Amino acid sequence: MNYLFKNKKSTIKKLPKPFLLVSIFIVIIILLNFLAPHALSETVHWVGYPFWFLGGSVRDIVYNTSNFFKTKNSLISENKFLREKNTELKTNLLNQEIIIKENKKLNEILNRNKNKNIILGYVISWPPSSPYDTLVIDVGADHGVEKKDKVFFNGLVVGEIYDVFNRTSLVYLFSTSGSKVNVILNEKTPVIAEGIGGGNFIIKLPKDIDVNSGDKILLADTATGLMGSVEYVETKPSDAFQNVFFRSPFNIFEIKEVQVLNEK
Amino acid sequence: MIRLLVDIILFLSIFIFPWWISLFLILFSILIFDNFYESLIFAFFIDSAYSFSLFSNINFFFGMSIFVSIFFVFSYYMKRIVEFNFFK
Repeated sequence: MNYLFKNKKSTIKKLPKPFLLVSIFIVIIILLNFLAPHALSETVHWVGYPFWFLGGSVRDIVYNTSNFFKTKNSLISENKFLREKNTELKTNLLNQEIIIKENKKLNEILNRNKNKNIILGYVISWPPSSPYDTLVIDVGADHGVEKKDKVFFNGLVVGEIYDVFNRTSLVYLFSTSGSKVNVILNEKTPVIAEGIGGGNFIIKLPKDIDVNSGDKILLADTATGLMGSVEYVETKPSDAFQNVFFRSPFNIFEIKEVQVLNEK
Repeated sequence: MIRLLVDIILFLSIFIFPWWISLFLILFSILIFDNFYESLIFAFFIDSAYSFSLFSNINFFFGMSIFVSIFFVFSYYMKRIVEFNFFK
């Protein structure tokens, strides 16, 4: 005959407490993702606003300190390079002013003058701080920034506004790995450029399309949104396609000031 | 006291240091402290501050939070085998 134990031991194993709490956290995350993914982003940006400026100051101190230890020779050669580059840029700037005036006249003739508002913003957080290749700028809804506004640096389009908060905005870079953007190659061929990170892009084209180094790449949405120029064209005899690599001519990680174009 | 100091450093690292330093500090803190639930909050902070949709077909914004959650569970079982004695 079987007798029951006086104190029946429970055979159901209880889940460890950390496992339960993490499971609840994951469920909350998934619910937030589909119902209100940016519910707490405004609060986080509000809290982080002064700390991002602190981070920028720390970064400047570290950069200046590292420059102190550079050798004289490296400083002399860098100085020489920068002087030559400055002369070249001044010449290009003169040409650009003529082109801008001409473009404005043509727009007036074609009656394409939209009410454009350019908002100047400073970058307070760069990609190394963000794991998602985004910038945080110090202008937001209070300054007239709206979602999908294009972001420029020295006349070159960098990305667009992804999310807007009261005092800050999140900028989505077009060169983010995996992102796709419609561009115009050499002012005639519409293609899709895929970002590969760090300001670099790749375009896959049929081999019979003629592409050369130095060809300009424009953003398809805006007539003057220059993104960069072709750096290298890769072709293989066995492949029916060619890979065109282009990049922004500036270092994304050193952008400090941007212009947000708000077209009303 | 040490745990509070680590919390402050982790909070500041989200805004000051590169993301991989913040992630390393979060994972390291999970290993050396018992039940370091603050790591989940900090990962959520990083996602809320910087994230946009990771995939083109599905909108998913909390990759870091999920990764840290999985590592948290993994570390729970790992601590049963390996003992970390940094502050004991």
